Amino acid sequence: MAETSAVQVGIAAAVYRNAGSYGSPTWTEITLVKSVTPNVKWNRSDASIRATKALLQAKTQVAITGSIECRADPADAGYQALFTAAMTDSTGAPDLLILDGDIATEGVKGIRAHMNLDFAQNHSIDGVIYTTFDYDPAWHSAGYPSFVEMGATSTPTITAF
Amino acid sequence: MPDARIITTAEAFKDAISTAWGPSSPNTISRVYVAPVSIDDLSNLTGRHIYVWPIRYSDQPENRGETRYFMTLGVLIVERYTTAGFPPNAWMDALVYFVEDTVKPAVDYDGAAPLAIGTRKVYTESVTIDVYDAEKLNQKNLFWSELEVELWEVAA
Repeated sequence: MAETSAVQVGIAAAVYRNAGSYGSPTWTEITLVKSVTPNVKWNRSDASIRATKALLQAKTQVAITGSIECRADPADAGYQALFTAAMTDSTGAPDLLILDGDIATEGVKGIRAHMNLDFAQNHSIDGVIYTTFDYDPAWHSAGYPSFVEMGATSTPTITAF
Repeated sequence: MPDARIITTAEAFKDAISTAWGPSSPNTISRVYVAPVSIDDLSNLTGRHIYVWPIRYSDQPENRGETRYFMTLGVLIVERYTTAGFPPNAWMDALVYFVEDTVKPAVDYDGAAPLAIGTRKVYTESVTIDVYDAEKLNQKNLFWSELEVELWEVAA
């Protein structure tokens, strides 16, 4: 099926956690997520040569960072998984799929990685408690961070950085 | 047919006030659509009466899986001074205190004690109280106090 041109809205984006194995993932959406701010930022190194007066740069390493804002709810398995990961070391880093749309929508794009999570909350007297989980990739023997594009029938193309 | 969210809220809200107050005849509390807004209907009123009614609601996305619902309910507390003469301050003071001490706490659901409706948890955003209506007091010896209560909840 061809992709359909349409406005993408934030509420339709999704964060999934892998409840299966790395090779045979079972993606479960964390529905209490409010906002996500994914960033992919390359480091550069000088690659200038005498053939041009222009400064040339070569991309070297990529920093994959961002934050997930999620409503705190002790009864929600998705929130609990993020909380547990934030409180433990990198061995507990969850395999997350952060997409700019629903996993079943062809053309949706995002990042897949085992993520280290940090934890921050605001206990303001007049607010609902949300937790901000800052993330960056963790080392994991099963696989390295990848960018993802969903194909037809929810089949992703996964490409390692 | 299930009741609308704001109606089930108004009903639970009325029950909460009733529990806090414990009215006995001729005092009453009821959920209504049309509160007795005409003071002409109240010339022979005896007892204290509380009416609860729905005013408005709205909603907005809370997160990717839930919605935040806002609901506004109205409450009227009305009682006629049946003794001859103009209502003395002490009579009015007691009713003003009744609203502050009994009705307002019963509709002020803070984070520690939300209004529970099944698995729903409803919180109070604000309570606005018109202490009394001078015209109705002057013309009909009526204590007439209106509350507008804004509530909210988050639900899937």
